[in-house]
Amino acid sequence: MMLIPMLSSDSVSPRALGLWGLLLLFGAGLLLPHAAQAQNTPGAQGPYALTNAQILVTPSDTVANGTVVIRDDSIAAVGPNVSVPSDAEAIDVAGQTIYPGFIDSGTHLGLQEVGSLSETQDFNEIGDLTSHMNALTAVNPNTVHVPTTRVHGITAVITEPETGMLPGTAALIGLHGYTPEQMHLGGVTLTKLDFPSIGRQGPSDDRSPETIKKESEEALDKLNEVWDAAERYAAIDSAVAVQPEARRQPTHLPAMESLVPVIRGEQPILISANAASDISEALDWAEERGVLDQVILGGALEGWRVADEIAAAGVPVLVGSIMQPPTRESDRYDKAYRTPALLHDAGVPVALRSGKTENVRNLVFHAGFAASHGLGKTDALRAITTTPAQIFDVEDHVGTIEAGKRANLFVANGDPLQPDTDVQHLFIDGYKLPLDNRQTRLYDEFLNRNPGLEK
Amino acid sequence: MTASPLRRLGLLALAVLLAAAPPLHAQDYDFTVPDVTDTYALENARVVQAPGDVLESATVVVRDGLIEAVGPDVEVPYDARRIAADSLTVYAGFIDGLSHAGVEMPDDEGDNGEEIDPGDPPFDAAGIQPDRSVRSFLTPDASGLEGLRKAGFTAGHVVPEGQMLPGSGALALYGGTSASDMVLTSDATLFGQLETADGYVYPATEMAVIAKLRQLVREAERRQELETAYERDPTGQRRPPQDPVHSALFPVLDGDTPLAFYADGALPIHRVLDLRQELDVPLVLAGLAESHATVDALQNTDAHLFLTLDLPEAPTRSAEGDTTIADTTDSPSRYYRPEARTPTHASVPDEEENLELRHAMERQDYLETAATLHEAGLRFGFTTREADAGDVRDNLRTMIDEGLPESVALAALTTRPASVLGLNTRLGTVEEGKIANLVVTDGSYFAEDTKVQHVFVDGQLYDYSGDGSGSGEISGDVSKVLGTWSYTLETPQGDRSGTLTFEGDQSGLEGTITNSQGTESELESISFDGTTLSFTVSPEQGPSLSVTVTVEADAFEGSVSTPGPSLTITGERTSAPNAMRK
Repeated sequence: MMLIPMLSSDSVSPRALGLWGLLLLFGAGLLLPHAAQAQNTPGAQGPYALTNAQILVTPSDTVANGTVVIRDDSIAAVGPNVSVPSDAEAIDVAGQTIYPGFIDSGTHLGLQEVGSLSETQDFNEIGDLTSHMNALTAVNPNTVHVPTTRVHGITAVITEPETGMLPGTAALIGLHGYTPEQMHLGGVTLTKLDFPSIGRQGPSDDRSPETIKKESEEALDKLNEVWDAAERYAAIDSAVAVQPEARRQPTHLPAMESLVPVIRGEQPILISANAASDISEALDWAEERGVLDQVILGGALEGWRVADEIAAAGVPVLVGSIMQPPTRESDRYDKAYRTPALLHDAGVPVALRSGKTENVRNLVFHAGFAASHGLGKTDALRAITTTPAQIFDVEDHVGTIEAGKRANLFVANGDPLQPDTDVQHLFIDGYKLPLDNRQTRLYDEFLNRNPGLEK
Repeated sequence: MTASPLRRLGLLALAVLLAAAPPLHAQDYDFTVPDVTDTYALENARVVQAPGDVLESATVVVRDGLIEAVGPDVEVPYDARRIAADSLTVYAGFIDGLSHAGVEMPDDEGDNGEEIDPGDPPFDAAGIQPDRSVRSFLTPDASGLEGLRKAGFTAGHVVPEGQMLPGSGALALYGGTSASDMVLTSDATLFGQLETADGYVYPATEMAVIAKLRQLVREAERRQELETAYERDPTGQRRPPQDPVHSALFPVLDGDTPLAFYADGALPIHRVLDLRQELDVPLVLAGLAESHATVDALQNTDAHLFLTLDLPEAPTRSAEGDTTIADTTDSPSRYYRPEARTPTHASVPDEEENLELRHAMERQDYLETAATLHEAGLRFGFTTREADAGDVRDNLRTMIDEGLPESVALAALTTRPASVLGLNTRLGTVEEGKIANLVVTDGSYFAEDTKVQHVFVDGQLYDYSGDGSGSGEISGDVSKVLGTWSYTLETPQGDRSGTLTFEGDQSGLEGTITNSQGTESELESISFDGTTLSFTVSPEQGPSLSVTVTVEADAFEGSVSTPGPSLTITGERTSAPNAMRK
């Protein structure tokens, strides 16, 4: 508004504009939202009663016509013969279907605003050993990407840090709240391990076999060195706890301290690995280190090559992003889309991750692709509802529409995995949240440009 | 004509581009994992507490930089990092009598345009800087420190570099993360050497150096008298001038700080001893390479002695194919003919051989110096100043072979320097309460195959146990590779050729590579399984290259991995082992 005359005026040098001017300039160029574009009306808790609805209680259990009562932050009642409480706001959703809120098992949501602006990227910390970085503390609850994600029925995501061998901890966050702590769902915290890549990294990797071998060994040695140190740290910490007065704490090393819950078996470890050889190596490593039963495998694009091994290890997998070409040129074009099905057929619990920030809402289409490439619709829905809830040990809170669970659900006018379906109502923790967002506002404004484009 | 340099430039650009290509693997694992604890327990080790004082199976606990406990029934603390030391031997960390380890002198600023009178130069131009302290030049990252540490040296008397009076020396630990971590005692000695000034200035000869030293000491004595008189009653007296150079000599004159001299040759040794006699100051004398010729003079002094760990190299025969030297070097004096003459050109080889015998004979005296001093009842430590850290153990072994008792060698590395340098309450033995400076080896330090596994400096662990990869694995018949090979390396800049030589037997191979410019490098980690031969080359500059080739008959073909693309290497054997040896 003011920006254009200011910039076109010759009297203002770029220098005089200063940092603020530059920020505005970039903001305008990339259509950065400003405060006025945040959601207009905050969500509100009910009680609500959604009546005459088809209800997908679980992916395999549908009520043809029933009512869902939401009171405070929970589902109070579900079923065909549920009566509407007198104080509840009744919403007639005849002809529509109520789904449990979807869960994306791997994103950077809340940690990045604009991909091309490094200042807005908070998932990349500098340093070699940053296992004490908690993604949750960096989550921006007011990110413009949260409302755009919710429109497709996604109500919770895992948000992960990146970079380095041990980038920090990932957190499960619900997509409503004004502080990261409000958003933190079930206290789910996963220590992430970016497993060192062994083997050749694609056709452009022209390192000699010896160099690859040597560098892989070095990387694994380093990982083991870190783990040895962490185990030692945990052992000293335990020894001190026995006689806190007589003994002294180990040298305070936050990176080591943050690994103690994993070493003690109290926290899951999210190992990210994609190549088949890396996955095998990671599983062997985890078994050797006695953390195999805490392992959640992330990525796993070549997981189908070692599906039996993963199944035998009893390790759940967060697959994705599957919307990409196969990892090897010799693979069939749809291998990535089929990966969830192949893993599922081998008996591996499969959840889907989009691996995105701005396009997390497309998780439903990832699930749609997985469904149509062997997984089937029921299991595709499980991969974004019940299965992740089980993997993250929050199945008592989310994942299905059952009385007593948190009211994370949405109403759609069709199959939510299809692009032409619209979400009509969405609830997180009992809050009925407005579905307008940055994209709908842009759509509304530019569809009805006034005064048009004449002249 | 113009195309060729341009073309070359293009290839060069390509090579630069290839070398500068970013690494494909995004992650970098070259970081340091922090130490979780500074408590260590070396369990069930053979502990040489002091020379001749051995515990066959004991545990050493290192905590807070000190040796907390030593003994067979020591309890391992809860926070200790346990090191299974069943097959290891623990020695007290070695103490270096004099060196420049950890010292990095600033670059010479050159002359600052000032006209100097060559006959009466300012002190710094004359190399007279006793007011400097080595403390300000210390850094734990200095080149050379790591090598000495790996050889077992954990502390030492370090002195600044320079000419005649380079500055005061300090007692320093050979480890730590900052200069402050290193210093045990600063201004422990004043370092001097019979070294003339740089360039065309006085003192330009050794006689002038001695004259100047004498002059300085006399001047300092006078200055000290003046200052004492002034301090007693300043009223009515002109204030004596501030003079850091002369003031720096006061502690030496008082007998509190010894003068530390480095002198290798017999003549300089005599000169330093005479000077000491004349000036009557305490003296530390290091070097002593030719001291086998000055035993009497040394016996008549109370100077503290540090013998160099450098030894002359063995004579090598320029002509080929003669093994006489090998047969005669053990007792060259039996074969050396002092009366031999060279009447005609035909007897030149005879003369050459005779000269080499002479060389070997002279060298023998140096090899026996340590034993000679010991037999003369002289007590000494060692100095690494002129020694190559990698040769230290070989040289010590040679000294022992030539008659120096092993326990005396160990004492000269530990207890003697500790007591001479006033460190015996803190260093020198493996005892409770001492600073945790330890050398942990997988056998007797003086045995040939022993490797230093760990070194502790001030309680900090330096782990060398993973450095065994220096030798590769040999499982194939080595006769297939022994000998000399010519190789051709296909690079973007064109083919490069050179030679490779392999020597050794089934227990291990050694080799060298000589490139087209004639530069020779050692091959490392040579492995051979009968068909596949691999080794690495670490050029002086740039990253190390690993080479893997397949050997078939007398030819090989394979690849060299570089930070950029792999290069193809081919080769042919030009001389087989039979032609070389036996």
